[in-house]
Amino acid sequence: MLEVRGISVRYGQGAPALRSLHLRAGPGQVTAVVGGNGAGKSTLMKAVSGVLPFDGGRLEGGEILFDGRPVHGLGPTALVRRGIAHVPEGRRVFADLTVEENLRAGASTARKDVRASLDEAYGMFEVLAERRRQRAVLLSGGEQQMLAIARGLMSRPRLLLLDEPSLGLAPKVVERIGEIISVIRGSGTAVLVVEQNAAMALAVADDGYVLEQGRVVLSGTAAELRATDEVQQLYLGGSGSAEELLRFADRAPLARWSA
Amino acid sequence: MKILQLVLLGVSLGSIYSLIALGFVVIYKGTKVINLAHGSVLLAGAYAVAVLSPHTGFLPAVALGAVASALCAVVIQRLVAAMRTQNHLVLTILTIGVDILLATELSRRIGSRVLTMGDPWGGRRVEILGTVLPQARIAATVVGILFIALFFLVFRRTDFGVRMRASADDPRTAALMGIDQRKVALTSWAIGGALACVAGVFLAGFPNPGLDHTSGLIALNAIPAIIIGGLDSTEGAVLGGLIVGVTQTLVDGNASSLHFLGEGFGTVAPYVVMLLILLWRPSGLMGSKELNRV
Repeated sequence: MLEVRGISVRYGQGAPALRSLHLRAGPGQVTAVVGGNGAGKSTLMKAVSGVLPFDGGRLEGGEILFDGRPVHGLGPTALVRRGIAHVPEGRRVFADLTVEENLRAGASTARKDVRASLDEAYGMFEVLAERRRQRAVLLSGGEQQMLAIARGLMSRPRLLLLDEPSLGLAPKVVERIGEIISVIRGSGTAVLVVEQNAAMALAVADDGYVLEQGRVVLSGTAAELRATDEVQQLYLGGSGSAEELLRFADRAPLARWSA
Repeated sequence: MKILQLVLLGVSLGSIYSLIALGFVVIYKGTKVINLAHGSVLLAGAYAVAVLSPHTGFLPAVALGAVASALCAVVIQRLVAAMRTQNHLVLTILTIGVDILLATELSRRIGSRVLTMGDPWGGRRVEILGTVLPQARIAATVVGILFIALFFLVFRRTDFGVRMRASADDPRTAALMGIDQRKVALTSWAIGGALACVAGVFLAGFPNPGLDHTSGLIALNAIPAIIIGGLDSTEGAVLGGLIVGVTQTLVDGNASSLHFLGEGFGTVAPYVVMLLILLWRPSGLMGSKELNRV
């Protein structure tokens, strides 16, 4: 469904944020991308949804295919129409708009059936139905994240990009977001989720990628990744001691990738 | 009764300032640029009305003039967007240059003439609540309130309004929702331009003798209005416009007892109010105070 072929991204004159990155997200599947701060996870999402120019970023090579057709030259509006929706990092709800207006803004490309989409969103997130007339800024962090996801679904995407949905949320809420991702997958929408919280992401994903310094250093099925020592130690907070952690951190990413 | 009459006249003037201020704020919210060429856009629209109205009649001329000033604003927006800088301060300064260009050309065309709008109100007077008011000022109040109401109806109640407000709130996220930011920019400038033309028609009407080449400067009165109301608040623009209009009229109406302040204090008074309000509320009466939960 989504195929990222060797893309490189650079902001201004700085070092590249992504270096010939390859990635595939299958139809109807959940694909997780995990990695630490500055690994290039958000940049990958922005490249797919066409908003790199907002941050002065540009694609320097490679291509992005959606349903087998190149889409890396398209703007965000065209990409939403093709069926890609991006729920940005930090939720970014429209603070002054009400919950319902936020959802309507998400349906900007939809010409009809907005009512049906709204009912669906309220069915999935009851807390939003109760607060539909409230301004979004008054919601709690978890509720804002629910609103951001519901807003992303309003354009009826076939691929939903979720950028750090668990950021700054309580463990209970993170658990709920994991469930929501499964529900979305169940309704036939593919999900590409970027996370620092690898435990949650790999628990709900079919496939996974580990990013470091703009490159894929590990990939495989989520189960395979969960089983590797490195993911255990570095991202899942395994029982390893500090020395064990250092052992992995010291190795150059490239060496691991070619190994 | 004199006070009531002055307040009613002030509200009339204020509703015109509100239209201009609303234009400034819509453009600012849509593109984060303060259009300092707004006075010239107003002048261009009113000039078009003055030229067309003998041929087409008053109302069609106003409609065409509004289209003309909307187009004028759109051209300025395209120019601003073509610049290879994203720095909004630089782009705002760029609009000063555009203003000088436009104002010079329009002054050349208008020369020393005073153009009339061909409006049907003339100098007739009407008695309301025991005060006597010029019909033109009543028309200004009614039309101003109508346009303001229409504006808020559209921005609050329609999906178009939701898209515009979402874009003003967070352009990048709005783009992610598939809202075309180029269209948002063009639309907000067009709306600002059209509102300026309507305001220009009433500024040139009674009691002013008509449109001359300095009429665009009156738009500057909307600048204290938007600062008083809060630069990013449409409600604030309306409130600020009314405050400026009423302040000016009250001060001018009592000029004889305020003589110790010197001549023409009416022009200065809105700026004094602006300074006092800024000392009290730095983001204006209704400007946003960055209320955001992380």
